[in-house]
Amino acid sequence: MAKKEEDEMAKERQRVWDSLPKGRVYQAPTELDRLFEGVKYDIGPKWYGERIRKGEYALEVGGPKFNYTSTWFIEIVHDPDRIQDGRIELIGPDIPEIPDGTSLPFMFWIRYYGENLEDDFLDILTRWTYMAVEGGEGWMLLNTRDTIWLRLRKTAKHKHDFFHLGQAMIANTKIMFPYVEKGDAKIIVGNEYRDLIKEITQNVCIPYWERIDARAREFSDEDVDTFYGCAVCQTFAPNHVCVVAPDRPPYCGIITWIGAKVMYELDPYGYTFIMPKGECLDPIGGEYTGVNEVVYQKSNRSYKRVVMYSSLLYPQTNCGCFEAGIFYIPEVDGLGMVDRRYTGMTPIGVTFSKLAGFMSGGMQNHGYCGMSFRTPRSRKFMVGDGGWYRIVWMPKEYKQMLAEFIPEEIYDKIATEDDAIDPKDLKEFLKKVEHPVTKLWRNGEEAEPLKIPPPNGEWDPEEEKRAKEKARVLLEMQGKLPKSE
Amino acid sequence: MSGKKVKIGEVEVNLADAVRDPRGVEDIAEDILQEMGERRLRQWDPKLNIFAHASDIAEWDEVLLDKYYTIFTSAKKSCEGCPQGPCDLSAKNGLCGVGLEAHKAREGLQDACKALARQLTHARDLLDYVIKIHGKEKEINLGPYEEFPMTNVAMLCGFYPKNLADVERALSYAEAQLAELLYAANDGKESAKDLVEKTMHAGSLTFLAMEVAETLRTCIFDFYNAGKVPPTEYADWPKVQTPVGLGVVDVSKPVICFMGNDFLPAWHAVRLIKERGLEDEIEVCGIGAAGHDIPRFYEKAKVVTSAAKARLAIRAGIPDVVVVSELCLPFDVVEEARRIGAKVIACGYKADFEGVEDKTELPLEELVKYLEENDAVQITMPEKAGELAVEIVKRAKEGKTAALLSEDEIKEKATACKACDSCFNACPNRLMLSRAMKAAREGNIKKLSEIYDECVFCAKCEHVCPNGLPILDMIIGASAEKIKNDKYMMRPGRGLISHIEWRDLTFGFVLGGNGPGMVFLIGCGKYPGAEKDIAEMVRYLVDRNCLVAVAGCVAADAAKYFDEEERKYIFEKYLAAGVLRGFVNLGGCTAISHIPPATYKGTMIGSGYTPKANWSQIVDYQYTRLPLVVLIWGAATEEMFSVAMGFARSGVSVVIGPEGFKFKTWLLGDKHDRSKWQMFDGITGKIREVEPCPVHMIVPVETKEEALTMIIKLFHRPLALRDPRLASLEAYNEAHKNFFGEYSDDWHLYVRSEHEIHVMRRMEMLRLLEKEHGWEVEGVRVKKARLRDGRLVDMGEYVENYGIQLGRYSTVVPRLVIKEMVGGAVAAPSKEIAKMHGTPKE
Amino acid sequence: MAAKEPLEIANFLKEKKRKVLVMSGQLCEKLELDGKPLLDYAVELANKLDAAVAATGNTVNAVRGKVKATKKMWAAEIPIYLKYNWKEPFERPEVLVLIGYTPDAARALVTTMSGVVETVVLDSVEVPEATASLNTMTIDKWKESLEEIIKNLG
Repeated sequence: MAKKEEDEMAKERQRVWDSLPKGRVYQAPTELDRLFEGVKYDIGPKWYGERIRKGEYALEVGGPKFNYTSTWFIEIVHDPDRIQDGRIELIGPDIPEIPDGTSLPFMFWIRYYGENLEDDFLDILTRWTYMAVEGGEGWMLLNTRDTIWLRLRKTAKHKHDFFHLGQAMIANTKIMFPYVEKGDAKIIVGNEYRDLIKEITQNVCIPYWERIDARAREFSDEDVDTFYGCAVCQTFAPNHVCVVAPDRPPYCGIITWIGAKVMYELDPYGYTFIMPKGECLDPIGGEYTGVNEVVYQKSNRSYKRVVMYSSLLYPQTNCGCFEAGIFYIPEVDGLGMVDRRYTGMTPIGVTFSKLAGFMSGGMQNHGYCGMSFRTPRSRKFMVGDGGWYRIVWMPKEYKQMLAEFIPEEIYDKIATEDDAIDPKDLKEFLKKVEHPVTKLWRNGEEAEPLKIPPPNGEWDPEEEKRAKEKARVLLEMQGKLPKSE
Repeated sequence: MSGKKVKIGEVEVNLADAVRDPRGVEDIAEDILQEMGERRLRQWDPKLNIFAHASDIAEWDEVLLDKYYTIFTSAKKSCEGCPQGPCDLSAKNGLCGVGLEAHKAREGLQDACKALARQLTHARDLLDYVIKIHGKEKEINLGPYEEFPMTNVAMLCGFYPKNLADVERALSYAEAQLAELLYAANDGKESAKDLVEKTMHAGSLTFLAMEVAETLRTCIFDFYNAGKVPPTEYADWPKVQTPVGLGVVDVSKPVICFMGNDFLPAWHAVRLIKERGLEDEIEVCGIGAAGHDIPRFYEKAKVVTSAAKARLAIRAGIPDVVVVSELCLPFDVVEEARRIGAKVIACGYKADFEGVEDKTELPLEELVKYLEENDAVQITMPEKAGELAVEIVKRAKEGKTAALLSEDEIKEKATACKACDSCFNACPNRLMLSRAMKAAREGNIKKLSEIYDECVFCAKCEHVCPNGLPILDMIIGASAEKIKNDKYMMRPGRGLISHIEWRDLTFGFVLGGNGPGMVFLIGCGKYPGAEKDIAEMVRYLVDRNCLVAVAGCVAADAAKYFDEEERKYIFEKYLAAGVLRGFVNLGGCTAISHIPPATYKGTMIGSGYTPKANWSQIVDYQYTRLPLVVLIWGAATEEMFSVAMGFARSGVSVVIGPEGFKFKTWLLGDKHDRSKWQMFDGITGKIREVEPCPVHMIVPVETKEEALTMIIKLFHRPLALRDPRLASLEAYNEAHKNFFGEYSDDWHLYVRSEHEIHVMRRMEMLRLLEKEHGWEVEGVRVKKARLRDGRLVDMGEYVENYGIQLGRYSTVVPRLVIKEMVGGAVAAPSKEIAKMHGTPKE
Repeated sequence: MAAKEPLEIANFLKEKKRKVLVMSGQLCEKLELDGKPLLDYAVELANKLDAAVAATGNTVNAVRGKVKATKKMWAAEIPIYLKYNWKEPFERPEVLVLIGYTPDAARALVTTMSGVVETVVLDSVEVPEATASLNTMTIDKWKESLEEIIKNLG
């Protein structure tokens, strides 16, 4: 989106902000030491995940009763003069004034300014802002953005009012994310504002989110010079290093590239570090000289190469906390996937637990790779092995869960435990459905498996070529081969 | 000696290097090495403790005993252990060479052996019984959701038992170990340290014995067993269906009350009751261990109280028939039952009471007749004992004489009190009985009823009373209303915590830090203060996102809370799954054996290490990383002492309630001694200074507030990551400040970055770091921190010199420093990168 | 024998101006001797001796502000910390006066400290392992004895 257009949108948001009905104003303290002054409720991880049932809440805002016409909007403002730091305006009744058991639509509109705040930080700002409620004593939080739904427990009601809630949100974000210099908030509550909230959501919030989401979606490895590494799991998997790139979330599923970047800047002695990309050695599989060098150092010189989007050729090492795993099935020259909720058997004769035990520990296991639930959503998912066309087996529930990310034409060709578990049966199944991997087989009849090196070993150069060729064949079928190749 | 070599991938292992004596266990050793796999064998030399003697685990025990002082509390100064004695040990060693410290250590070992013997004989009885019926080939199957069956056995013996023959092999091993330990306990000439190691070994073996008994319960007798139930159901499974308390028994019906460790008579009685359709006619209830076993196979069972308060249940007139097997807290059941005219069936070879005759051989009709004429009978066969109980209970009811003392009777009896205060001086809870007696004499029995809340019914007061006052009866009589209203509901025990639950807990505790830790609450009743304290502690911890799992008698007392606002019992209030904010009941006393495996599972899930005879590696992992604490609240029995020593050896810290001051040994760390708090960098082997944590392994406390604060403090582990550090530090500071009105003098030792300080208190704590500890703070960031040697350094240097860098593999066991960097050297790294990340080990 | 008369104990505590520290245990909060909390005796004792109070259990809340110095401490930890030079907020003692511990706890504590520091247990039960303790006696006599010790301290 052009800069000019963005400026127009920002102006429009400011116009809507200014045009909101006038409410009661509270000026929260803005000095660091007094940020939480007056906040009577506690915030911390121990309050996460509270469930408050019907009859237990004093106040419910948003949620199904209003067909989710409530919104929590967080905005990054780039003009410092637009924000009066610590100003909280409440349009509508305050918590103590609302009778117990009431349900109302609402909108939180929180704005932040900081010289170093980028639009890409919206997710992080959202997390710290939400924490004041999600990790707030007495609150239940479900969903996000325009499907938001909150409940406040009756027994905690006396500790709460909207002014201090707004103050706590901004205070929490300022402490957790010192890039934030200023913050203000407007809180709108009440049935009479239902249409107004709907209108703002439609005209202001959704376009804002769409723009930022689109940036995030388009954002890829090629857009950055630096990846981040994480070695937090070396505590139990010596030598293990995770590469975090825009297209490659780590398999614990906890951080993203942006998250790792911010974490590195804020907590330089934490567990993330930078990885300059260096020269690209393999644009398909994702191999970079810079990554290889840092991985070599950080793995205590245990292994020299990482191909980011392959589970066969120099895959990333595994710690122990992956949510799912991918594994090579030599009998069919294809890859199977299994998630941790599946307790049954896989075609390689082990359960997820056994597989996890085998894969974990920080060794480079060619042919095996851990994944987060987000990994398969990456556009580069295992492209180094031929992408989705190389996947031949998944547990049924896992496959259903990932349905929208699996190319339609291959969906029915991936076997589940209902179709086959034994490799022999799997082979027959794949032949029957004409799975693309059969194109890699001799005459479409017999798989010619790769000679996988032992853990931490090196590929025979000829075999590596064969592996890459196989991936190329499958990518070509999908029309996914980069033009440069 | 076997020179056998095993090849695992490219690595060749000489069995004799991996096992002290591989003869006879080569198959087991080979299986373990295969499971470890090539890559791990290249990183570490294996050291397997197959069928371990205490000294096979010395590698770990010495790490532990180097870090923690063994504090012996015994005041004895002389030894009468052999015919040469007594020897005064205060000035010099005895004739046999044993010194005072070692003698004190032997006393601890004797206690632990007592507990081990009890658990072993119980397991042996049960195993023999089961083998008689099913044969040795009978398979052991804990269900599809248990991937690590009988881990206590695996940790010591090196295999997972597959059938009863395997179980017997493990149990025979433990029995032989007991003999060896008993030898040391009585004749041992070794050092105090060796004896303490043996005491810990007895603890580990106690878990094994309990595990055998528990496994047979679940596999053969179909007790509730989470291994057979999909984890998706754990949230509310088993149902909160078991009534608990003195008021829940319908005493208008015939009541059979089972006591002791052996559930078999109850199992057979229940079978008969069901066959004959008597479920609504006969009340089946349990006290102590039996109380927690029966609800796991009979949903109409009721739990009366803990073993420690059995005397109260009988004096309150609840049972018509008492079926008693071996008791964990011995008392004169027959005499107590006689007071209320209840009949006693003593079941099993170990249920020997003076004056009670073994009449097992009599046919049932004659037994019934015999028991009509006598107070008690001993029956060694559980089937028969169970049947007799069902047969006799209706008639027994008719003959019962029980009645609580009336108010007038109490006042009258109180006149005999001479206020000598012998009772006060004997009372473990220091209850001022003479004052209550005085009030009663003057017409007010309320004070006696107040005593009821804190009385543990140990009867010491009656025992010492020179005037023979029935003090307990008077307390009970004054508390009739309280007894009637003692009504709660609990969730029966579920058995194991599944590895599947740990997959999520790993995120909760180890990575995400959403919960400060996991607490296992065990104990036998006999609490300081009131019973309700237990439920309060559970609520405090669960409300702070801990997972609390309870096992043993204490579960019945943990149940004593009803949330008026939510209209829910405590077990209904919280999730029953092994998750953050979960409250799980594992089961009776033998279910304590699920606790070490529950901790090992966290390790196995996190690391993939094998638990088979691989003690140091598994325990090193959890000791340095996982926030696991055991709380023992109540009677300091030998069982509790033994398991406490066992937990410490498993790397799990133990906090013990006030009675714990009586434990023969404490294991305390010294936070001031920096030389004690060191670890090896797992890659370079370099020694690094770390935080003093966990600061103690076995520590007694005085109050529940101290217990909670100490538990939370012990969650700290040197290899914890950022978020878990925040969670435990937050909880520690909160507890210390709230309970004691001030922050602790050591919280700053656990701070490695401002990111580890609770967000709401961050500025306050940063200012304290500035003012009280001389750190430099800039905005919300720490700029310079003070090392323990007093140097003020920037954060880079601080992190270099204190604590383990986040995510760095480290260990307290020298062998577990990585021995070989796998993979050869390639071209030197570019200068920039080398500079950025420091120079690695060459 | 450890058992001593109140006057002997008072004299023992006074003589040589030894550094005395009072340890107040949890029973100080629980027990009342005819309306007067045991804790008050601990406080009076400390003030008479110009001693600080190492407040264990939860007693620090009630002791704070009533004596010259106090701190939350943990009973079981005191024996292992005795080998250090204490600075803040009070010095390492030569004599520890234990009050408010169950006889079992007191016995264990003084045993673990024997040879390192002298111990005086002011309970109504004799603790032979201590350097000095009161005889086993009735509550009334206990109260009198405590009062007598305090009176004789000056």
